Amino acid sequence: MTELPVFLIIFTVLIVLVVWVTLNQLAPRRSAEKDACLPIDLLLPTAYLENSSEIERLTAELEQERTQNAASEGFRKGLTPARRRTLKKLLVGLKEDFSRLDRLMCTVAALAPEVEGRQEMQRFWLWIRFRLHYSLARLSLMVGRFSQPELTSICKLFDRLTLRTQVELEALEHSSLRPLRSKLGT
Amino acid sequence: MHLTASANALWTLTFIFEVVLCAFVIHRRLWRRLPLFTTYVLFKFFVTAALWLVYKRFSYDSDFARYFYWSTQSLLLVTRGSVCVELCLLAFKNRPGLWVHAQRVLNSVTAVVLVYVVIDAYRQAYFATKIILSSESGLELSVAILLASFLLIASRYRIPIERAPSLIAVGMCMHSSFKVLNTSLLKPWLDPHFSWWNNAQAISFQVALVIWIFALRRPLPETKPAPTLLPMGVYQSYARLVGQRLKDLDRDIQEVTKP
Repeated sequence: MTELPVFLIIFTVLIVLVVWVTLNQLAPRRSAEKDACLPIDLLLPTAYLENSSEIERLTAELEQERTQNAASEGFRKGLTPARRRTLKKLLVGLKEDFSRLDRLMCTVAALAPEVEGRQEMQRFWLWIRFRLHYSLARLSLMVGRFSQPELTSICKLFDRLTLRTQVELEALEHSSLRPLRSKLGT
Repeated sequence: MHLTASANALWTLTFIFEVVLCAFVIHRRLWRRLPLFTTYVLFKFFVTAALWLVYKRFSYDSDFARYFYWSTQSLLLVTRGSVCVELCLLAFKNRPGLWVHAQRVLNSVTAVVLVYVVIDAYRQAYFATKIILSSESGLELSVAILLASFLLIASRYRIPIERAPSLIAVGMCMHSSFKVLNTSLLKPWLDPHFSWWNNAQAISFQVALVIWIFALRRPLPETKPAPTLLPMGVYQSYARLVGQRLKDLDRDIQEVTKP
């Protein structure tokens, strides 16, 4: 009796996979060779930097609320729709960065004369984990789970990330990665 | 006992589709690109025609018809398996590094499914017909899972597969999935209630035939030259760097969920 639902699930998963892969295959896309010619700077996650002004504003807002609250037991706004939108953009930025790097690595692997199976499996596992964490974060945001202190710590996290990326971008100019850029024809 | 009217109609339709597909295969000279798929299509066409004659001559439930059906089915299953290998080789032939990795993954997946097939057949040790049925559905399952895994790997690594081979893989995967479901579950469960369910398998094969005809309706494009491979050290340098970046991003998003 238990076999029926199990096989139905297998069947559904197979069909969904096949349809998804077919649509993916038939959709126009950049060629793998073009992707391998991406500049080395793209190895740095930068999508969330596009929203850095918004996150700065949000950090300032939260800081102001915190000080006001300490002084006068004032009103805390919590996760307003505007803040939710800002955080959503940041999460989407992180996901875009992850996907871009993962895609780039897949392209490099596809064009490499030798590939390390262990590393590929690790990256695949990391991809699954990241997707899970991302879905969890989006869900938390959707149900409005974040409180004021949590919002503040998320903003601080993104501040740290922005700073880290800026430092790395500057360091890249003098790093040993430059030869890779010429190898990839950029 | 003879075939029902609906089974006869479906048989005729399948035969027509197979004739059209064979015509396309010959017209497109598919044996130059996909020799094993060509063999499978032509062999399937001859089996359909021969089975029709056997049923007419010896009746549907004769011993000879049964032996003929099962021996041709096993040969068809072998050719279907070889088509899977051919499709994988076609997609990965210019990607030596990835092919080694993909081969390992595909072999492991197939081995796991085959172990399941053996266990399942062993459970039916005292019923010869059930062994055949469970082995057949198990092998079909391995074909379906192998093809789905192959398509997934190709999609993840963005290996460009031509339209025709990818649609051939899709058609074969769908047909095998349906056969597994039909043989293992739906037929024993639904057959007593819906007599037409026996025909569902024939319809699933017709769907696959239509997909293959659709895949071959246009001339096949010229084979693209093999891509230029990257220098030896590039993968290692990238793997180390990108691996670290990805780990960082994963840690960052974990911090968001657990601030």
